[in-house]
Amino acid sequence: MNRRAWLWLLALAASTPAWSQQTGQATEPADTGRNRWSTLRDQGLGGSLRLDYFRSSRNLDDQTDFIGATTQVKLLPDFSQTVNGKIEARITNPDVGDGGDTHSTLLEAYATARLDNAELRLGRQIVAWGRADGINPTDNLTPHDYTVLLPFEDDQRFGTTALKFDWYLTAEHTLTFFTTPFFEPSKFPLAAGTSFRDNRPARTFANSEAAVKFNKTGGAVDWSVSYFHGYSLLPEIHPLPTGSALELRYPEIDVIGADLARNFGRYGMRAEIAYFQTEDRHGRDPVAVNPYLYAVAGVDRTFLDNLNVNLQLVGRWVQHYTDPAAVADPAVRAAATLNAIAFGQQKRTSHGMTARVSNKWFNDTLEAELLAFVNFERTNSYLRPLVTYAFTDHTKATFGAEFYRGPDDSPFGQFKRNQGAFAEWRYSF
Amino acid sequence: MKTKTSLGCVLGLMLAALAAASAAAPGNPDARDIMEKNFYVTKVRSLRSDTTMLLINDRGQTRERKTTTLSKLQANGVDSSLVVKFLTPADIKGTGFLQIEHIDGDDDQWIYLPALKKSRRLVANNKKDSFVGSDFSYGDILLPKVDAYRHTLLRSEAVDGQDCYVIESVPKDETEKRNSGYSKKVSWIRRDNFLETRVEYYDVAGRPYKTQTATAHKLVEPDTRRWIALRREMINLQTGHKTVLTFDRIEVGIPVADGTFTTRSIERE
Repeated sequence: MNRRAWLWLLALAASTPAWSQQTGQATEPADTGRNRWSTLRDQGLGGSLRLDYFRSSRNLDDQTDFIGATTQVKLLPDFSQTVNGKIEARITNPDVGDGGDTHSTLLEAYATARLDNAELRLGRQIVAWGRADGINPTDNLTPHDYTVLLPFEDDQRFGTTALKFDWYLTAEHTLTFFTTPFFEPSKFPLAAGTSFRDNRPARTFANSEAAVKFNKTGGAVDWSVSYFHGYSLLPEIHPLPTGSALELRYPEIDVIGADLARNFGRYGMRAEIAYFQTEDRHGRDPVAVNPYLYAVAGVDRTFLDNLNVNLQLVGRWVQHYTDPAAVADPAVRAAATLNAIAFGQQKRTSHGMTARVSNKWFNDTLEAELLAFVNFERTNSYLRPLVTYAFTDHTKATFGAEFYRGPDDSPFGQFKRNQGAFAEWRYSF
Repeated sequence: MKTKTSLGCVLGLMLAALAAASAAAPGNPDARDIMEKNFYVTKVRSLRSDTTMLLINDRGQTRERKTTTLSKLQANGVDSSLVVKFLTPADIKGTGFLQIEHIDGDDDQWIYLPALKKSRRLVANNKKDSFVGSDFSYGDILLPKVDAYRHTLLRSEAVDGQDCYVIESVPKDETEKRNSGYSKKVSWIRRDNFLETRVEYYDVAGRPYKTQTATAHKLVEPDTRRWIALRREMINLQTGHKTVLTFDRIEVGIPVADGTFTTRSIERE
């Protein structure tokens, strides 16, 4: 299956006009191929071929030096004047050099029906909520793959099969409903050498997730309020009675959130806040995640021609806080500590800051960005410089690195073994 | 000696007054009026267009952006609302841009990036900022208020067989100069339709900076005498980079619902 998929994608890539023209043979079959290509282009065909190098894996397995190949293909077919769709898939082998496994991911595959004042979308889809930059407490609907060996944050997203209904109440106000019985958690790094039992909720209608958002976009201020009932995309880790493995549980959560964006002259201000009601509402289970408040607020401004500076403060407050280090049972304490690190609950209140500085030169052919995230409690940080150069409209190269600092039992310090440089060559078609 | 100098001054003043009177003669309207007509001449009620933007560097390497744009003049007859979708290149295909202009304040702008899956409110651009990496600035495309500049009619001359007024425009204050990035603009405005055929731009230090030529003028709204230049070329004299903007297809006077200018329009890939 994987080999066939690769062959299909290679054949597709080889049929691009740019590559066909290099042969210099304008034969009839080539014309037919071009017609077929043209038809596919009319259906919104696009995609990319990517070669990547990563110094380290993004799993906690101490594996290094990955040369990967990825093809991503997108099709945007129109079924009628009011119904269209999208199919986007990725086939990747993150370790071609060492005979790694090729695997495919259907990122999105949905149909959208457009009515006069509403839009209904059904199928596998990515839904991204929240107006803050990169850190979105209200974004709990569809998962991320934090282990994928591709350079950009957008590469981490993949869809869930769901139904979304947007009701356009006015030109500026929208009421959105979302529901899915097919919960799919995020993929995240797990410590090598430990066995985990994944205990995700069964895919039944009784376990359906649901969300609603009232959104206003336009005028001087954009804002929304939202509510989500479903399961945490990140798992809690629980010790099993046998002691031989750990269990991954995805607690039920209820999230009430709000966000806003407004400009003050040359400054753009964004804020987002969410209250998470977890299963352990009263903080009685020392392992389980407690209810918490999670907020982000920041500003951005562009200086000179293209120098953009974006600063955000991040804060969490934990309700019914208990110190995981105070738990007597070592196995329970270890699990409680892991959960506290993953959910930012090592202290009752915790604060952090993000800074993203970017610039563009030479008519936007050269772009550079420095992203930094610092947690002030148990000082730990993440730093990612990134440089991208566009050789042509189709070909780009990206170089970057990820650096983690801090104690091993801190949110960023735990990933120190994953730090290293990466590079990507990308051909877009 | 002193008498000769005074006489020279008086003669000089008389000649200057004659030149000014000649420029303001009935056949030569006031420079500000000309620039006001130039400001309004492209204000089309509604427009759907497909455009190609070629970015050409000093070595002749070319990049291409194709867009489709829908715009509508707002009720005040000055500001426009517009939606731009990028069709090429592949890596930015599907990107959408929404702008609601406000002549007396900052414009409202949103961008939709398909990879982000959501619209993002942008901080209003400085007028001197580059428009999507091209040699056009936002201020070159969406002209500033006429009275933000002091205009002087320098002379009349023919360009490509068309009689033109040659007008020098200088920012009225330091803020406008800083925001626009220009210390001076010299425009060649056609006498018959008030559309510019050539504009020379000088940077804040007074050095020649950019030159724009606007050709293929087309009368698109005969009742209101609105014109569009179907081809514009902007050359950056300091870098050798140039941008050619061509309208491949235009439709004028089409019905456009106000609800078109919302973020949901740009969120459709």
